[in-house]
Amino acid sequence: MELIQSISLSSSASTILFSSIPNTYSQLYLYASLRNDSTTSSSPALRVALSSTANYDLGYRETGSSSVNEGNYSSKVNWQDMYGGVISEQKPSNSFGAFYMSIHNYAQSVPTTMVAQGTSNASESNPNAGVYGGIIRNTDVQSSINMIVDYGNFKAGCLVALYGA
Amino acid sequence: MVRKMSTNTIGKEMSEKLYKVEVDCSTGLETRTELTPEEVTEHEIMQQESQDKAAIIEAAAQDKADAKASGIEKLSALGLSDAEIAAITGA
Repeated sequence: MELIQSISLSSSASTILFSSIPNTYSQLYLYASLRNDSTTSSSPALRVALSSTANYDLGYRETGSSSVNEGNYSSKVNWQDMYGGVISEQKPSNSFGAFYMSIHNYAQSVPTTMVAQGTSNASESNPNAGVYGGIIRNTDVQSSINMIVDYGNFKAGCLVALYGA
Repeated sequence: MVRKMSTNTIGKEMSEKLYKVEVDCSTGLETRTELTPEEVTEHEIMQQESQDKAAIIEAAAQDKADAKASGIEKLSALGLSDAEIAAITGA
């Protein structure tokens, strides 16, 4: 595995984008430490889009202190919402959520598969975690990764690194 | 609950300038650009979609939790002990 590129935010940004990803790897690995600048939601959603995800199936399981959500996204739109991975301004202070995404077959003529997981902390006693797995049922080459958060912006200090293998 | 949200505040949060940070992986060039009005609109739509989706899932989870609580209450009224209810429901 080798580092392709990384982004370290020195000031806030609404969108983080890796473009022109080389198609010379078999797999991509995205590691991110994320925080947003909004106090609106204690559990911000991270929206991730590959360049071509128009037909995907995504299953998920999300856990919190008092509930578990699980199921499948059926909307099959380009953006995938993932919880656990972004810490909000509510708490804890100055910490960043942990997010990881593995993308396989992104440059081959077979469906792209992916798995992602993230953890954030709605409060000291209420950690959130999400696990996601998906298949993109077209065979397009994925050449970009676009990230936004559902409330506010990514805060300065966020770090996102893209590796290839 | 896993998903927590309140009313939409996109208008308020979008009153500031929005920026995109992009790194071109073929060149290593990193750029920071202000979103165009069209990109701001698209960004607002995407954020709203995410919030709407979360609201739907949150409502479904709440319905499920309410049904479970109601079921447990009825089992208790039938005379089942807490241990017996837990054995049945896994709660």
